[in-house]
Amino acid sequence: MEDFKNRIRNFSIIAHIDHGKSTLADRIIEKTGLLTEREMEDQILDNMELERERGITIKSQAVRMIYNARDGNGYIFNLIDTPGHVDFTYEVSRSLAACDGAILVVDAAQGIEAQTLANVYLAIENGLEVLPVINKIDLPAARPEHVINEIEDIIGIEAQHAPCISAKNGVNIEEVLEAIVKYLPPPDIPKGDILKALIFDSKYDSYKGVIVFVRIMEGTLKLNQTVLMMNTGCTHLVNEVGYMKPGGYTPAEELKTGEVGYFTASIKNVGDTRVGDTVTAAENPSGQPLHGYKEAVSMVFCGIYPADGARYNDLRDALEKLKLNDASLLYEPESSVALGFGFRCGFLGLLHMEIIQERLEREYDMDLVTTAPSVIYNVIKGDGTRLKVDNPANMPDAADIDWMEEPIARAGIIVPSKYLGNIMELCVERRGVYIDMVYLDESRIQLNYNIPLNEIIYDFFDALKSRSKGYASLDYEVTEYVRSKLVKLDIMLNGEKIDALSFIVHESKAYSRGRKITEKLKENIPRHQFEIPVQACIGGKIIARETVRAYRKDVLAKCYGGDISRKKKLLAKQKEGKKRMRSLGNVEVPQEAFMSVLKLDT
Amino acid sequence: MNDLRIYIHIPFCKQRCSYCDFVTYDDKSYLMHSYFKALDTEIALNRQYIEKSNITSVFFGGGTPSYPDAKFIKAALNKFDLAEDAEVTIEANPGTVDFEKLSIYREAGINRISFGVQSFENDMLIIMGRIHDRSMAIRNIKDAKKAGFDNISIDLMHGYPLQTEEGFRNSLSSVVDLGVTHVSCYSLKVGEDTPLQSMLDKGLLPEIDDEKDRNMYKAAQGYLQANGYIQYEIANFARPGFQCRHNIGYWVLDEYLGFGAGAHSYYNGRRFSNITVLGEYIRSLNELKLPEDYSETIDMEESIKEFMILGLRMTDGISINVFSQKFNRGLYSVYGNEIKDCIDSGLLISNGEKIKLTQNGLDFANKVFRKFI
Repeated sequence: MEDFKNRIRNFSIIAHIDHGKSTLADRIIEKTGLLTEREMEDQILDNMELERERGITIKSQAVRMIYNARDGNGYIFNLIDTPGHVDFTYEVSRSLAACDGAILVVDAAQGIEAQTLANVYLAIENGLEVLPVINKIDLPAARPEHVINEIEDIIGIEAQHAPCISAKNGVNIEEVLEAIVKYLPPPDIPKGDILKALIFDSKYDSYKGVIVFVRIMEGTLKLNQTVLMMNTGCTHLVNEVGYMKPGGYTPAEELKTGEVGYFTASIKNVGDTRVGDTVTAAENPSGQPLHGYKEAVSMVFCGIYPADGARYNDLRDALEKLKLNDASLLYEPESSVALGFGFRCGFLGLLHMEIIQERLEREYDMDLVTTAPSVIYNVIKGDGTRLKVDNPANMPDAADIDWMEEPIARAGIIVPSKYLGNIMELCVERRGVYIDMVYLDESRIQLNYNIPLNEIIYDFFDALKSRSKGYASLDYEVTEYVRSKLVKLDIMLNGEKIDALSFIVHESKAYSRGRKITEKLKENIPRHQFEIPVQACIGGKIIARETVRAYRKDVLAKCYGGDISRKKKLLAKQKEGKKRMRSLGNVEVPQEAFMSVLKLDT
Repeated sequence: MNDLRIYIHIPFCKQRCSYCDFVTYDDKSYLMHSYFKALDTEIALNRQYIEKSNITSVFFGGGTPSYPDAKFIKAALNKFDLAEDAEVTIEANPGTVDFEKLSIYREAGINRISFGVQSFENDMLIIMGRIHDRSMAIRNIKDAKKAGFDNISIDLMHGYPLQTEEGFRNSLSSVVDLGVTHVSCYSLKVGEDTPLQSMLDKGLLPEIDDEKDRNMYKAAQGYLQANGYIQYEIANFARPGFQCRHNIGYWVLDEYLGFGAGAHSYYNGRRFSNITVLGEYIRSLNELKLPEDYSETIDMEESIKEFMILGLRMTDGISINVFSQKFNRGLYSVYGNEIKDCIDSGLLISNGEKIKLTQNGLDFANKVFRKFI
């Protein structure tokens, strides 16, 4: 038994986007002989279309491999792939908690990035042994020695033994496998033998119900056992246990201490199997759940509406299906005068929001109109009552508000020094308060700022990328709520307030935001037979105005030469465009107009 | 014998106008010989369709059909056996013709000439990038009369940036003074990727003023009607009996074959068009291959749409009877709601036999057409 546990290595791979995490994972799977090269579909672990395209992992995945090491022993490798973005920090921390070690992949040319840093610290906090691997040594700009020193200086872990590899070309992959055996520890030996298993992910399968991914911390998980989820309190009868293999499952009789695997128990709802929860035996439960469990907290909210109002039910069905696999997605029906029926949705962060929107559009073929993202504000009314407001529509009258509070994020930005000025300027524009700055090496700097979250969710990431030619990286974490002068900015078209365009903004930003929005709307609202004033106002006060001029004709004057097909197409296209417009009072507003106000800086 | 109309595209110009995005080239004159040879081939490849038809009109459009040597036009026209009363039109730009050239056209059997004058104001002609001036236009039109043309059309443009209502009215009175039989008066449409478009985008010319444009349009309607021209289409006016039969053919779904680069055809239930790139058009025909690159089948449903959006262009409108004879269905059973909407919003009017655009409908015709698409 002792010997068996010594031959298990549970680890994850930490890397910045593009540093080659998935490619290395593929090589490891290939080298351990699970699949031949021909059978391997590139990047096995990122199996969602969107994940592949964006090169990020959204859902955790795990896979079990057998490696025959040079010492003559066979080792069980459990590779647990972690989501790769700040929005999923909690999920990452739970995946890491299921591991005993982590491989840190660093691009030999780029060096360490902000997000890598954040995840390495998470791994260290979770008590993981970190094994650095220098990837992409085949690049002409590769500076492996430099990067090794950087790792030692900045992270403070030893890196001289780091394998230097090219995952893409399959160079030195053996060294990584041997290093895993040599430097990463086997699972700890627990004190007792009462079942305690950590849920690090779950997913919905239409045949099996929810498939729960667990790491057994203590005891044994057996087939036909009744288990209890300690935090949610539900019990279920286990009807399958086993190990994960790439693209499938290998059923087994039981999962022992230190092992990583899955079980199913006819569970209908992923909400019952929350990441971080502890699975124990219902008959002989553990007294103490594993620590670190948190409920998913939504940080960013927006309204999502079908572009074609008739597809409301399709949107609801699509959200329901996404929710099956993503317990952190929140949604509830809301209605807007301007947009009709839709949903108020809550997300872990900005990327999470974008991913959900994109999946709705691609996987469910929905055409969406979304409203400006919002954070949760605390509103303290004159009578002393406190409200949480995540939707501008629910903001009380200015006269009833005593004061408001907004969330502040601590943002860590790593940027090449030549873009430092641009990025500091951006942070100041976004009401950032400088904390400090650390030179990582002669050419790169880590900047730390306190920035209000509502500035970060408003196309900050795009601006960051465009002002650093794509080189800056960002990590953020909400740390506190502070008192702030916030106002509700309303937009009026032809004198009518458009609820879907309202948002909450800092007083100092209201004028410039109002001006930009009215300009964008003017560009995106087609001319009507009458003049349309586009106004931004706070309370009753108008702070910006543009006018969509009236048109006096809509006619193709010249129609000869016999090119009828093109004219029909043009008319048909215009007609299609009209269908997708929203009638607000007597003004027709296209979907693009709603979307145009979401990106003002780029 | 079926009636058939013929369109021949001449994609050459001396100089491209600022607003133009038509299929034409001002730097490929060296291809003229090869082009007309290819045109011959294309006509020859279609002989079977031409020979079994009664050719009721021929239209040389461009580009500038009057720019190449007249012998090319004459040769092309000679390929067709025309109906006795066939209408044969050539588009001509002032500055590319003289009395002699016009006489050759006339002798070759061309009986209608349409001058792309656009304006009689010298300032506007410079801004538009035209090669002629006012006096040149007047001289050419007089030459045409002398050469024996008694059916002359003038194109005028309105709504051009910087154009004034007064200047446009002056152009109108010049047209009437010249005593031509037909006037096309159309609102500027800025072609995509044209010098005009880019100047407007950059703010180098003032934005087009819809209101002025409509005032000019209304001035044209009033002035031309007062002088004996009848408006028969959104942009066309004619003395009685001088409406352009070829163009009306497009609007009543007559069949036509188009020859030349980018030319369009409607024949045997199909709309199709040719390659627009000159070299490729010529190469295809040198290999005896038809240069078709777009085709669309027109079934009954599609034909009904076309009947509506083209027929309603004419001020006479569409006849409820003709509709049911043509399609074996009642107009109101197909478009009852759409027609009612348009009548309610003042864009269409019906007298029980015909449905046509109102004055307001002429300004917002696309709104009506979109209903029927």
